Amino acid sequence: MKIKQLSYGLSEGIRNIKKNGMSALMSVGIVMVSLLIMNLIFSVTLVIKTNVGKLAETAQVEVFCDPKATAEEIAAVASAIDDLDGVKGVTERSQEDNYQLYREYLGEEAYLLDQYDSSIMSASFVIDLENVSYGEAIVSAMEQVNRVQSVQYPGKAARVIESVATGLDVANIVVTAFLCIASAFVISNTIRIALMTRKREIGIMRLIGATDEYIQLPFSAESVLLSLIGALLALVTGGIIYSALASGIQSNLAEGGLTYIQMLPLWRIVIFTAPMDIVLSILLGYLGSRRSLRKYLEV
Amino acid sequence: MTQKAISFDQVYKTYGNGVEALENVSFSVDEGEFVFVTGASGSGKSTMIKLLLREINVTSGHISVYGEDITQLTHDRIPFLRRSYGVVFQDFKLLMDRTVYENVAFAMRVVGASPAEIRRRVPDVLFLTGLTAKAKVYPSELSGGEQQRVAIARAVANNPKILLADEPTGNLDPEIADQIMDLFEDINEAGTTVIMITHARDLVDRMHKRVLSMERGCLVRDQQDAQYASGEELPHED
Repeated sequence: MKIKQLSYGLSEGIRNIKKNGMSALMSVGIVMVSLLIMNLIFSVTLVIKTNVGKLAETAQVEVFCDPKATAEEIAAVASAIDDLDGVKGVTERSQEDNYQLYREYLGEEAYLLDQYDSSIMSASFVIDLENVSYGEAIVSAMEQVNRVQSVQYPGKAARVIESVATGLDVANIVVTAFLCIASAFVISNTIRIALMTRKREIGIMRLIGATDEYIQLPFSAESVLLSLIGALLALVTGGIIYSALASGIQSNLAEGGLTYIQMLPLWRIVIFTAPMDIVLSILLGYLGSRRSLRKYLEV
Repeated sequence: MTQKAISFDQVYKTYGNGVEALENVSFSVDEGEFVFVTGASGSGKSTMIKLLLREINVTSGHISVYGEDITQLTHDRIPFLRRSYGVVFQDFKLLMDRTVYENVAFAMRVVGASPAEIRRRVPDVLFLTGLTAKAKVYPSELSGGEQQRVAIARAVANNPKILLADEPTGNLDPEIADQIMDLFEDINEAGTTVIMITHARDLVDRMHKRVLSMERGCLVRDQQDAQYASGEELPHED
């Protein structure tokens, strides 16, 4: 396609948008809302997956003994750990150590423990793994050992959360597909109105020898432009909403001591959402216009 | 030897509703000729224009334009056929939201003329049609005669070989119609073949051109240097 034709298509497309203000606004609006919802769900899943990824790489297992376990029984647990493959190192925490750690964790509310002593706490072993691939085997092995009350492995929880994130991904695809179909219909309707408005002009164009491609170009340009404007607004609005939510959530997490959960910087979201929005909006615009052009232009 | 611009060969056209619009119509028009097509409403005149523009196709027979059988054209070649014509209608068919200049430039842009060509050609065409002073005016601000001049300017902007005019003076006062006919004659003298459908008896009688008379879908008269009605039927031209 010649640049001359493209510039004609664009200028006529802009002219159409100005003429059909209200329907154009509706098209922009529906594309914006669709892509905004997609962007926000995507942002949430990206944040979850990134944090889950970090969590899954935590190569530590903590084995808690029964609080009533004797010193010999705790030594037997330590011995069982020594027999495991993939152990890089072990740190033993006595009941007293864990009692103090818990007091620190409670902070100002540590007085709640004043009426108890360290006997309510479990002694534990923090096992550093050579790598995460040993995690689940060590958890299974330690759960069988006598006097082991529980085994905590963040990597396992990470997998559960990851499957939730994957579920969100699937939901996002379904919701986005549905919204995109709705958007394509609205765009198609806008183009239908533009075609009706310019029916006389199209008739004259045909009579003086315009090709189908030349007649269709302004309408395709109009719908792609409307979609792109919608995508741009979705990106800007999504960016503003994400930034506001992320800073609020991050400060709440910090207050709760959950500093290891990190919201992602905006640019890390935008490098994914911007190309997705642009490609999807061009596709939406093209498909929306094709439907009306095929149906009402009789070319 | 003069080249044939248009040739109808045993053309029949029956519409979907069973109306026989053309029945065994054969004639040819040489390059540079000026031909009137006359006849009552429903006689098949407009069907001839539609067939030439390939808005519709023949039921049987052949139509050639400069030797090319246009009844066999594929859909994507039709725009290029239409570029060989300039077309003028009774209702002008102007774009009311564009100026006189833009209306003419539009026709050139549609066929892929460069901006430089458009800037060069449009003022010439507006001068030819006496519209130089009206270049920036919108059609709604023009008289009927001036609007038809714009339509003619648009029709000749791309230097068509053939000018098709369907009742071009139908909406105009007699004096203005005379001026428009003079314009068509000037264009014809410059070498463009003109096919004009008209009911304007005075104009046909004044111009002394070839006349094709249609009646109920049949060509009943084909006469050179003719009057609107001769009172006698002449044999068809081969």
